[in-house]
Amino acid sequence: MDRDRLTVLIVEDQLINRQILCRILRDEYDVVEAVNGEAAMETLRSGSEVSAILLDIVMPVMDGYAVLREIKDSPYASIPVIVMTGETDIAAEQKALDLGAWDFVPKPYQPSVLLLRLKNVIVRSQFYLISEMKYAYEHDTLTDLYNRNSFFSRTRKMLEDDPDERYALVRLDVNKFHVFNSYWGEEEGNRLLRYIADSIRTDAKQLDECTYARINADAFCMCERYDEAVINSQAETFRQRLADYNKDYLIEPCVGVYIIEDPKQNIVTMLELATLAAKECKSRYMTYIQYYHPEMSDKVLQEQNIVNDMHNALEDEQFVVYLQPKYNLKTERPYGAEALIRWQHPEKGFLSPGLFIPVFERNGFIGKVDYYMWEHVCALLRKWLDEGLDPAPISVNMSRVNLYNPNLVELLTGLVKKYRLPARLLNLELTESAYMENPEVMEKMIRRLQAAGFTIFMDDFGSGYSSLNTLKNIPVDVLKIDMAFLAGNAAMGRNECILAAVIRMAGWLEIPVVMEGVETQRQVEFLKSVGCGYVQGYYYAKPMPVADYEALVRGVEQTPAETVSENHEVMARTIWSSGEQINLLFNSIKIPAAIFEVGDDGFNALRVNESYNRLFGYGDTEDDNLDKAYGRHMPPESAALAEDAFRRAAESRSEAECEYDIVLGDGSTRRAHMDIQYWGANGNMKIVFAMLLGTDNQALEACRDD
Amino acid sequence: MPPPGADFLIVGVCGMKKTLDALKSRGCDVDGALGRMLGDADFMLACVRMALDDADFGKLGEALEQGDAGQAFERAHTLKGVMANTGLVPLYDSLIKIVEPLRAGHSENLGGEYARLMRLRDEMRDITGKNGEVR
Repeated sequence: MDRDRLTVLIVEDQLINRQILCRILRDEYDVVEAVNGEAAMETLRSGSEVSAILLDIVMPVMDGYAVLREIKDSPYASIPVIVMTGETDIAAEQKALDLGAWDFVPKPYQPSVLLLRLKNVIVRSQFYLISEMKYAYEHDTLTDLYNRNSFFSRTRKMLEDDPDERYALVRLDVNKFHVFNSYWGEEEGNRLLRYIADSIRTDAKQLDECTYARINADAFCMCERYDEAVINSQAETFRQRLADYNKDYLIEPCVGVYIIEDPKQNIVTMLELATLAAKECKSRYMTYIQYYHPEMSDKVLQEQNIVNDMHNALEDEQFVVYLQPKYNLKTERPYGAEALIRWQHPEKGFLSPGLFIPVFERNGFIGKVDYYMWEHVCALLRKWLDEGLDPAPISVNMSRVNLYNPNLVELLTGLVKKYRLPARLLNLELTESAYMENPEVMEKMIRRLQAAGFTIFMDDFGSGYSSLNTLKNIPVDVLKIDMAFLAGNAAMGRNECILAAVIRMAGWLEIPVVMEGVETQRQVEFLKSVGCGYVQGYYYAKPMPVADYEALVRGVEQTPAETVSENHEVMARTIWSSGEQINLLFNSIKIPAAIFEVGDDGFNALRVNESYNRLFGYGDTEDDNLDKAYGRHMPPESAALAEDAFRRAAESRSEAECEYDIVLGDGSTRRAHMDIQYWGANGNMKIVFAMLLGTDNQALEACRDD
Repeated sequence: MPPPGADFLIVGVCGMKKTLDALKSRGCDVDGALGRMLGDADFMLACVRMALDDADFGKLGEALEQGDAGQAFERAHTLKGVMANTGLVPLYDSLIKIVEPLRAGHSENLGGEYARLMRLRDEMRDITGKNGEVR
C-alpha cells in the first residue's frame, strides 16, 4: 500500500456493491474489504490503520448496527463511519446516528457525493484526534481539571490581559493526605481528589476571572482577583466541604495564598511562595490558611544555609559542648550536668540550637550530631578521670532518629568502651513523646541500655498524652519535668498541687525528679517543700562552656540527692498494694485504722480500713476524699490536736497519742483516743499509722450497719 | 487497413453499445450506472451480469414460498440495493413492491410480483448475455 494514501474499510456483503465502491475509491484511497460486521471487526483488531469505514447495515452474521455498537466504546471509536443505506427511513437513520454513525450515503452510490462525504468525515476526525490530544495534553486525567502546564500558560495569559487588576495565587492541599490514602486506600484517595476538583470548579464559576488546576498529588491551585474577604470565605467553604466529606475521618485543608505584586514574575515562583505559605499551616495547630510574607522565604533560605554548612561544621568541629549543671536541691551544690550543643559558626558566630536542631531533626542529620556530642562528652569524662577527678555523670540527649536505631546499644557501649568509662557516667535523656510512638520497642531498648549500665532519664515528663501509662510501662530511672508545666493555668495552686503529687508519686517509685527551667527563688522554695531532688535552671546556672563548668565544680563535693526514703519498701508495698493478702491483713484489724502522710502543710490519709469507713459512714476504703472527709468529722480544734500528735510521732520517730472529739456519720459527737505510730518517710513526708478507740479504750461503735 | 483483431474489436464495441442501448430502452439507468462506475462500460456490464445472476433471487423465492417474511425482506432489500447500483431500474421498481410489504411483515400475495421480477430478470439476461469476471 502507498504510505501516503489513506485506507478505507468497506463493510458490505454484496460483492457487486463492494466492487463498485472499490472502483469509486481506488484513485484516492487504499481499500480493505469485509463481507460482514464480524470480518470488519477482525480487520480493525488486526491493526489495519483505517481512516474511515463505509458500512452497510443489512448483512448476515453481524449487521451494521452491531458494528456501530461494538465500535462505539472501543479503541476504534474515533474512526468515522459512513453508513450506506438504501432506505429513506428516518428511524433507521436516527438509530445509526445514535449508535455513532458520522454520515450517510444512499444507494445507489453517487461517486462525487460519496467521495466528498468521505473526505469531510476524515478531515473532521483528524481535527477531533488533534483536539483529543490537545485535551489530554492540557488536562489532568484523574480530575479533568487543567493540569500544571496549562495552568501556568493560562494564568500567564490572564495576567497579561488584565494588567491593572491585582491577583492572588491560592494553593490548596489536604493536610496529611498520604495518611488518608494509606488508611482508606488509593481509590478512596482518588475519589476525594475528584471531590475537591468539583469543589474548585464550583468556586471558579462564581469568579469573573480565574484559572485553576490540579498541580500534582493533592495540590490544587487557583489564580483569581485578590479580595481577602472572598479568599478567606472560599477557604472556609473549602474547609467545611472537606469536613463534610467523611464523617468518620476529619480531613483538613492547608491553604497558602500569595498576593501577586509583580504580574511579570514567573508563575512557578509564585506557586512556590504560595506553597511556602501553605506549609506554615501544617506546622500550626488549627490554622488552615496562611498568607505568604517574606519572612517565610527568609526562613527557607536560612534553613538552606544551615543545610549547606552542616557537614563542614561537623568535620571542622564547629559544634561545641556546653554544660548546664544540675543542682542537688538539698545541698544546693552541683551534681553532674546536661550536655547541650552550641554552634560556633566561623562567619555567622554563635547560632542558637533553636535555629538548627529542628532542621537537623527534619533531615536526619541529628543522628550524626547526637553521636558527635556523645563522643565529645565521653572524651571529656575520660579527661577528667585521667586528671584524677571523680566526675558526676553527664547526661546527653537522644533524638528519635537514634532511638529507633537497632544498633543504638552497640553504639553507646562501643563508645564507653572506647573511652574506658563506666556506663553510669554517661546518662541518656529520652523524650516522652518518643516513647509514645512505639512503647514496646522503647521498653525493650531501655531495658537493654539499663542492662548495659546506663541511667535513663525521661525528658519532658508530663508533656505527653499518656504520661501515667508510659510511667507504668517504661522502667525509667529519672524524671525530668519542665517548670513550664506550672505556667498557664488560671486556677491558683492547681498546677502546684499536681506537681507535688507527681513528685511524691515519683518518690514512692524511687524515681528521682529533676525540675528544669527553674528561674526564681519562689520556685526553688516550692520545690524544696515538695521534696524535689534536683533542679536545673538559670536560677542556679546557665549552660556554660566546659572550662567554666570545670571551674565551677573544682573542689566541690558532688553528691546525689537521696532517693530512697526510710522504710520505703515495706511501706510502699503495704500502702499501694491492691493484693488480697495485704487487704485482708489491713481490714482484719477491727479497730478503725488509717495511714497518714504528714508534711509541712498538713496531713493526708493515704489508706484506711473497713472499720474506719463504717465508723464514719463511707462506702469505699479507697475513697480519695478521705482527708477532707476526716476533717469534716472533726471540729477545727480537734484537727489541730490530731495534727500536733502526728507531728510529734513524726519528729520523734516513735509513738504519740491524743484525745479529741469526732463527729460520726449519724451526727453524734464522740470522744476518741488516737494512738499513732511513726512508720517511715517518703521524701520530706512522714508516714504514720493511726488507730482510733473510745476514751475507755473500747472500740468505737459503727454509725451504721454494713 | 484496420489492425489485426480490429474487426472483432469494432464488432465488440458495436456489440457493447447495442447492449447498453437495449438496456436503456428497457428502462435501465445506464448513464447513472456508468457514471457510478467512472465510465467503465465493460466493468458496468460485468456488474450488471453478476447482479442478474445473484443467488438472492432464488433465495427470495424460497423464503416467500416458506412464508418467511424476515428472510425474504433481507434478500429483497439486498437485491434492491444492488439493482439500484447497477441501474437495473425495472427490477429495482419490482423489488420495492416486494420489500415494503415484507418490511411490514406481510409475505402473502407476493408471488405474482415475484414472478414478474423473475421475468424481468430473464429479459435482462437475454439482453446482456453471459456474466463475466469484473477484475
